[in-house]
Amino acid sequence: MAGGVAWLAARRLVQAVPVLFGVVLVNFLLMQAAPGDLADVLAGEQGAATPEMMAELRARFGLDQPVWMQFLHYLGNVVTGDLGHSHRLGLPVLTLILERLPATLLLMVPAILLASGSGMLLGGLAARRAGSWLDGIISAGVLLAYATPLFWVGLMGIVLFGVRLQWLPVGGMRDPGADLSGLALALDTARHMVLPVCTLSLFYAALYARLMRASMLTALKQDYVRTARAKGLSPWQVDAVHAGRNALLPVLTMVGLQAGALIGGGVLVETVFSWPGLGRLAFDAILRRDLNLLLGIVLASSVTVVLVNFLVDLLYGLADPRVRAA
Amino acid sequence: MSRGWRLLLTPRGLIGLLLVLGLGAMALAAPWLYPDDPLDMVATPSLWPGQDPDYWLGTDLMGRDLASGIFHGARVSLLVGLSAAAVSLTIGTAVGALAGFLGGRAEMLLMRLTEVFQTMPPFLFAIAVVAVLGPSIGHVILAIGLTSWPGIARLARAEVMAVRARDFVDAALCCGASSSRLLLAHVLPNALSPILVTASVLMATAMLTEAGLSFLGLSDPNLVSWGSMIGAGREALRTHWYMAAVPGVALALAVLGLNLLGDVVDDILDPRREG
Amino acid sequence: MIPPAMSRRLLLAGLGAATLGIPSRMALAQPAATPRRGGTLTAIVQPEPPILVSALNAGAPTGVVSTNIFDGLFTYDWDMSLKPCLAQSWTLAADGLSLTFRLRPGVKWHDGQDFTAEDVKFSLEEIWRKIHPRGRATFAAVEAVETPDPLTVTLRLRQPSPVILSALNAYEAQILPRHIYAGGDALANPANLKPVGTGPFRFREWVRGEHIILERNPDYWDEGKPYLDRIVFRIVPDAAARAALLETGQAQYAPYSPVPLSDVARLRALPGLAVETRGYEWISPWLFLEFNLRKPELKDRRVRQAIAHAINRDIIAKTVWHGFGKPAVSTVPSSLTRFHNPDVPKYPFDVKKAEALLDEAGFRRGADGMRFALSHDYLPYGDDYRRTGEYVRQALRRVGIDLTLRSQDTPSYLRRVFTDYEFDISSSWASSFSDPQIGVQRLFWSKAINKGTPWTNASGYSNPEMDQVIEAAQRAVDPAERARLFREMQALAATDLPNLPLIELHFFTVHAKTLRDVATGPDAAYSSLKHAWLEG
Repeated sequence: MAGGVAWLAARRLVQAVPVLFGVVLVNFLLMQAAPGDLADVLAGEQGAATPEMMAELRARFGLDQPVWMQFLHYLGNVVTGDLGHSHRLGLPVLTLILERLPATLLLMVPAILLASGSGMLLGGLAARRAGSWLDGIISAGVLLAYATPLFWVGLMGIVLFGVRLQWLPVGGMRDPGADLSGLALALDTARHMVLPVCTLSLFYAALYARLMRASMLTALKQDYVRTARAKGLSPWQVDAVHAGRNALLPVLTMVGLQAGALIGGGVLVETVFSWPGLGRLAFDAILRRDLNLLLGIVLASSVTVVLVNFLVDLLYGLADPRVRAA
Repeated sequence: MSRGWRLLLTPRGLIGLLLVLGLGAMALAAPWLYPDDPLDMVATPSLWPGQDPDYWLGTDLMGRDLASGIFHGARVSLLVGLSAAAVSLTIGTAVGALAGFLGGRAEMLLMRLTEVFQTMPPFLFAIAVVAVLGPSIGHVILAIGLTSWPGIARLARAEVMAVRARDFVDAALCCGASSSRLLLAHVLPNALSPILVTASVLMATAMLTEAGLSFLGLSDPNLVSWGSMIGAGREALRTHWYMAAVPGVALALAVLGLNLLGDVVDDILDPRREG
Repeated sequence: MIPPAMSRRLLLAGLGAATLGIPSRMALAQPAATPRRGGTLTAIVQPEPPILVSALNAGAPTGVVSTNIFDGLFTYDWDMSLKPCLAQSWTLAADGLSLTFRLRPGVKWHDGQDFTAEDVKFSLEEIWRKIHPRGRATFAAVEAVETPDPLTVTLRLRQPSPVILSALNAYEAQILPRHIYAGGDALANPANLKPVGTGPFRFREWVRGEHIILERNPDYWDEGKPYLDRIVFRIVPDAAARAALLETGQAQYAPYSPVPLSDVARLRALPGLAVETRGYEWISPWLFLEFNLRKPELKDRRVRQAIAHAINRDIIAKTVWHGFGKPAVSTVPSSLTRFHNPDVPKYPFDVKKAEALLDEAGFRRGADGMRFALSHDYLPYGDDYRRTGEYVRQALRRVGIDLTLRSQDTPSYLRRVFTDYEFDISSSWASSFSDPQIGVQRLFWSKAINKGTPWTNASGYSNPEMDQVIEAAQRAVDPAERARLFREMQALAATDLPNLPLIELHFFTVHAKTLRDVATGPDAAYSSLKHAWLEG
């Protein structure tokens, strides 16, 4: 079974090759169009340069080659599984990405889970009591959360919980001064996760709650729900099992669509909370013209999107038997 | 129409309408109420709101009038919202409608293109576009538009395919209508309303994205936008929190208004959601 | 050991600065307390350094960390004189053509190998002269490096080159271990990420995006030092978050203007924090506008003078930079007391004069009140530089110059200003270093017009008289004559005005009051924290 799924996933990736190629091409061309290159960046951050140094750096990084050669060279490497080297940081791109991946997952996965869980719950509640004061409060709160810039919420969270109340750490992923391990490390990391995860999930929770409310309202009017009610099932059973399961599908679709934001979307939150994730790494790679590193991250992000969507399709099958049959 | 009015006159609809009208009014009134450049340093820096009646919303770290910034910022935010939504709608509808209408190989190519853009992390892509082209207002709009069209394209394709399957299109084809004429005259207008509903959400998202880009320092230095005001006010967050709060509230209200109005319009256009 | 015939001998180890008549400012600031051993210091470095070896990356973040791991031959005292470090003394021949260092015996690398003259020779010949962006110029006059014995290094010079003496600390001329770097590609050496030095702290770990940890070197040659057991450098990209970390005591040391200027007054008022502006004298940064003399309007000196008169440098220092700057008079900052020239042509804030000069140059106001339009590319290093640009825009619009700001990221800025020359007025900052030859002359020397090379002469300014003065200063052996020539350079620069000094920047360090002996020299921000200690 598991092997079958893996095989299906691999097939999906192969099917996605043209899209992945397109992603690499677009980003490669974009960075080629960018004024300035890595040699400029290195000279810039050192505050001095000589013409010989610039020439040496460009030759070293292969920047003196024609653009098409650079691209072919990159593609050739990628095909053999080599994402290249970050010339500025002196490490293989794959190493850099793998280093940051745990931090990204630690931020994104709980945020998405928290957001989808609370969003569906709130949206479901609001839909069941559509028009009531509860619906009003939830809808208003959700809209407000949706309308407030994320980084602003994060900053306010730092001021309130980090500085005024001092309940939570101000930033970072763990306390680097203390040599923690095991449970202590896990607890310390969890404490550091609270603010960034909550901040990030606020926006997504709002998104999912809106979606859930709307699709639940639609579902509640469907014939089969009426039938189920007529059959005398308890309202809770009807709403949660029948209507809820159907309302879930659009939310799942949304999770799939959001997968693209998974890696890149954290830039703002990572910045505000000094979170060592991939978003920030990609941001720096753009501003520093670290072409290989940026392409590597974008490629990794795209592969994630393909796989997450594959997963969503699987879940779709579980949630809706009709899809499975097809 | 009476149903539409009824929905619009709910608290939700009214608040949304008022907020959006207010946004428009501020944008229109800015040059009359505050004829000077909002970037000019005009008063003592760091005045609190209410401290000086001439500067009722206070001044920022450089002694610039926050009220003037808010009004002129409304123009910029509205401009960014409208233009980015327009760019996004144009590309998205064109690609989606063509794909849905043409079908076959063209459809596959266009949808692959859509996938490419949908697969890239949108905010990162916007950052890259702005970084490459330089953070002028036009480039910010282009970047936001370029990253938000794939969703519209999918929607447009689905709508066009649904409309196309209806009888009147077949009828028109039988009567010998050319396919391009058919697309423009019959299919698109019918598919357009659900697409337009998403425009309000697009605008709201565009305004938020602009604020996020400004926060990272990627904003047009010659213009004041709410996003750039929040970004500048972040420096003084601890001492003069109002500098980031005032534009933050303005932005939140505008986004809120657009979303509320979008919801109501959605309800009006969707008869299934009555009640 | 040192022949008295070799003149100008300085041995400052035990003598201290007092013998030179310059009181140590540290001693004035606080009564000497007995340093306490132990403790972990949490510091902030921003942005994250790419590698940890200053000899191979001259950027400031690398320097902040790297100078704790590596030593230089010397450090600097408040009067910019040399204090012994890996070298115990130096002697310069009377003709200025040979420079000899006596090295400290018994120094070991962190991996246990002996430090010798071969390491110095290797660092100079293979690293500073071949890779370091400033070292290439600073050590250009070195013809040969001789190592008569393991503790003696003699530089044979093609021509006198006093500038070398201003670039011998751990930041500007870092000594690398020959046994690790010899024969290979230095820039690709894995030790750049796991450095092995002779310095007071050893490298322990680097978790990218999070922190770098250094630990006390128990075998450090300077007995009893360092006091701290461990330094954790945290990487914190957001300024507000940095302020919060310092405020809550989660970090105790952050150099290089780590928090928004507008937030400094609040932090300074907190009982536990101190704001220190000393320790940056050795780099003495200053902010200026550079005019592109290839543009027709800016070719006219009267236009440049008018711009100088139109800008109120007091506002830039006080309002824009919140007092962390001093209106600049000349192109060599006043902190370089040996070289600064206060008597250069001046351009006080005078709008009428500015208007008159523009009228005289034939640029009358048009129907819209504007005379001509220019763009301004400000240095993309953060809000302070943007706000400076916003002020300049307002000031120039007042006299009828329609200035548009252009924002871009750093590589775009560098490409535009130094390669494409597609700019009108740029803002830029330069570190003067303790010798104008290192940091300032490139702005005025026609040989520094190097298209495609960042931080060279971008204005296109070329004046044979200026070139003569600069080249004479490079060769002058007599310190007084050299200083006179550099003062002449400043007078010429202020007359021709290819660039306009705005303010001398005052960078600052925020640290916990419990962290003592932070600013112990003019290059403290670029030096090790071996003197620093935490109160119990």
